[in-house]
Amino acid sequence: MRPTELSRRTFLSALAGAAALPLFPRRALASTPQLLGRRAEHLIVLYASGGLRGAPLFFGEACTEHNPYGRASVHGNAEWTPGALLGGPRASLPLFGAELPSAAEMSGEMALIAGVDHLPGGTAIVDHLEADHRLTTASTGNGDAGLLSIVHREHARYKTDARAFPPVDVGGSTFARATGIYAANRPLEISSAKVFEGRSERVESAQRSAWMKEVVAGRDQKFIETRKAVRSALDNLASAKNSGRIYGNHLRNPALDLLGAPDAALGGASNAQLLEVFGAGEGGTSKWGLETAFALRCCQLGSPAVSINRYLYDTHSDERDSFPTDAADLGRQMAGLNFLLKRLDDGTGKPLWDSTVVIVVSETNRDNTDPDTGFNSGGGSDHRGTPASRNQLWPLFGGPVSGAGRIFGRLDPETLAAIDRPATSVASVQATLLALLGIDPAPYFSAPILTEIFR
Amino acid sequence: MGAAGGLAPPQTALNARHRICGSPGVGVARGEFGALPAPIGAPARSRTAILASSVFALLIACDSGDSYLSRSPEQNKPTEFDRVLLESFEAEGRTIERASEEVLCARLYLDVLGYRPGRETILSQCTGRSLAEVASELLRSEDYRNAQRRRWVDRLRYSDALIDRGAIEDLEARIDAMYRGELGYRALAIETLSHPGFIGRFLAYGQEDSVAEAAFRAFLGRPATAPEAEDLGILWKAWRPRMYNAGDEAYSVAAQIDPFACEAGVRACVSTILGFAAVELPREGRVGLLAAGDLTEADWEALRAPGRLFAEQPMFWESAADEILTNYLGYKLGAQYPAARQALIDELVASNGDLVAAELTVLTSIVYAELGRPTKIMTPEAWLRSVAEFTGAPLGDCRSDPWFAGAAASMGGCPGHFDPNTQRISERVSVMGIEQAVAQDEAALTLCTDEAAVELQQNPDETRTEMIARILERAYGRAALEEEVRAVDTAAARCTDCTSGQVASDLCTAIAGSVEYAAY
Repeated sequence: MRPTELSRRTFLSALAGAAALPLFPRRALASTPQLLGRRAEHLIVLYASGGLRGAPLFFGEACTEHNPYGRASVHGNAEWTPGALLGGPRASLPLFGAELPSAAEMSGEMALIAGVDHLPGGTAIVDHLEADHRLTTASTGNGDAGLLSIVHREHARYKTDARAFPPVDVGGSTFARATGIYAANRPLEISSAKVFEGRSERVESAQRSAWMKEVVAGRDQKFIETRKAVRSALDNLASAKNSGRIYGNHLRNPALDLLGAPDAALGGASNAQLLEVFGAGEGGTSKWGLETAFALRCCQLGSPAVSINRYLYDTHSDERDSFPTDAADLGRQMAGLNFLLKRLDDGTGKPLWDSTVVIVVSETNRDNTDPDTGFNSGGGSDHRGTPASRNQLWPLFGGPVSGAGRIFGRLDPETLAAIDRPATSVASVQATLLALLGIDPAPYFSAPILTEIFR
Repeated sequence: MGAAGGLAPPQTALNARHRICGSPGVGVARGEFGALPAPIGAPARSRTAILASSVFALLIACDSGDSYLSRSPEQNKPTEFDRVLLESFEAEGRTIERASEEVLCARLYLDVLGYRPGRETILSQCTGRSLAEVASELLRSEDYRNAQRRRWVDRLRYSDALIDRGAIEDLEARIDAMYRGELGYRALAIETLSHPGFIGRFLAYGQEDSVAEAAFRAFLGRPATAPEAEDLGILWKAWRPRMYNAGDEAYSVAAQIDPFACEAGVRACVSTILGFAAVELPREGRVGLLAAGDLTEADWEALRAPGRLFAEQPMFWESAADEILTNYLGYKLGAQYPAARQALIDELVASNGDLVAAELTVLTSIVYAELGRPTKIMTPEAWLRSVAEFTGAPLGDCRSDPWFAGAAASMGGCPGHFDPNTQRISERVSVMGIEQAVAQDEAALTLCTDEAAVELQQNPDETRTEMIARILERAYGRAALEEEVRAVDTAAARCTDCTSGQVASDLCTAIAGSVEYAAY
């Protein structure tokens, strides 16, 4: 066949047409099997790593030893009392012409798992690395796959469309761990959405050179053929480069270039608006905001699961000074997600809220604090394996959460020990999140699914 | 094609059953390039000599003599490493097919200097010259030493984002001295294991066992067991970290010494798990912590105890040999040919740790020149530097060029680079995932723009077809194939009003992203 001749103008016009098409066509939601009463198409994990001191945000009634910051008001029909650090003033959003309520004000829309332990009844884990590994893989050993890699391997979306937007790990967490048979299932891993700055400017040159890449790729196949003894390694490299070619154009979507394309809009909000909501717009100081906005964009483009890791919460000292700011920053992300998920279109005309679940996690809670001051001798807190460091408080929210405002489990306000029933295991939460995304967790976790949160 | 004895053409491959070179003694090719005599002066009719003559007669290609004759006797002496390999190959009936001159030259440049040579470099620097000659020259270059220093960042995992730069520069100066031949490997190891630039990296919270663990990985080639790390860690007990504000909200660690922690005659710090070693520091009326710069020679001698202990271990030399073999061959030769590995170990010990000589042994060996050895993939740093060489784009390195550091780190390179996004020190990633592939594509787009790719612009006196051929040759270092030139030219013709600069830029991006370019 005679190759079609394209003038440069035709070339660019074709590119413009291509760019107007949805880069990741969304697929019918019904394609995902339903294993719980509710189903989610998207999961956003806010990983407040370092060992988040949970009570000052999510257990306002805890005693001073565990929550020296006080409590916020209860809102709606919430069964739990937010801590003072989840409260705070409303933020002004000029670009939206609105105010952003504090996260405490949405407590009636959040479910809280009170007491999540790595291994309830087992040995306490105090080491960061081990705690992190158990959090992200729920493995008791050296598991091969983190949650995101399991999703990438098992999610129905990838069975039928290998080009679907992958799960995303922002900030380098072991949720992206993928060794052994999972090596090919690594999610997209980036240290920050900053690496996307300016990428959308190169979409034209990238697409323009695509035709040349096809030619060279053809030559590559011949090269690989000549290296029969080492084909496997070269095939893997070729496969990775092919993925890069496929995703390269998609990942130059202006909606992902949050810093370089502030006016780019998707689903009803511009990049600048998103950054403003998360406290990362002009003059903003959020350490989370850019990444949270990126996570939201990834979900809009079809990613089923995104985790954001911010190592800000290992407050062994100087917690008095640093933690209120960093806790408020986390609260801002929660409030911002609540605000935006209800306003952004999911591509099918429905709010993204309806199909998205957000969860906040960490690898430990904290202890070794003075009953009178609430801090250790360095003005901070530690993680030594007492119930106060074992039992974490993990909130969830989003349309599919049917237990909004409820608390699942109870902790003693004096000791943070689980009362009435054992703490929930990390594996149970992981299994639940997989089931929520339509992935059968049985091959991975024997722990029970938390059906009561998603009836 | 080069003169006889140069980077030999494929038809002189080892499996071609060539004649024995007619020269003094029994001539054999040393690696790719030429004949090596039997070990004149070896015990008369020793098993080695007999074996060598018979095996070489069967397996070794040789040249017609010019370059062989022009080489020094030292270069012509067969290495024990090759001799042992040949013995094994003969027993197996294995034959070796040599890589082409172009492939070998590219390997040498990538392995030794860290970038892919263009065709012009291959023609001017390798063609017609012996492998030993080229390798020796490269091993004497500053680029080689720079590449080695970067390799040691991987090995020692130090980071100038964490440790005070003076300490790292001092440590790097010693590493450089070793590659200049002024310091043996053993001496370097002993100094490194008592150097603030190394210790400070792993002593952030005063965990001596972490230092022991890092020392194991760096010099014994394996992780320490928990008891080993605990027992040996005590040898670094006198070291104390001192955090200081290095500006820009960054903190660095300066190591200092607590003279009371391992006080002579009071509480010596003793380890026995790998053999007896003790650190005993004279107190001499000292009342507080000492900066490294205030230590006496007697203090340093005491602090070098762990280094001396490590250097006594058989694993120490085994690990050094394995490092060289894996680095240059891309696989663990010792697992299949333990006698060859032992020969390299013996050479290292006999030379008191002359790493450069041992590297030359491997670089000029028959296995290095083998065509079918496992293909290696460029590191991100090597890839970036290669593309810059190819395009003419100015580029620094992980230390001097923030763009380079960021691009390489996104691709899984630049170990030691501080990532402000994650607040972590990056380590090398050998897996290419989605983001690594996209990051590489992004870097190629940047380095291949019309402005950056100054070496690729169309010359006034060449046609587009000639330009395409020139770019392909410049990139891959081989003659452009007629069919690939035609394919590219035909594709380029589809864009009727693309400028030649755009064609050059697009071709550059495509080549840089190809498997052939990254593999060697």
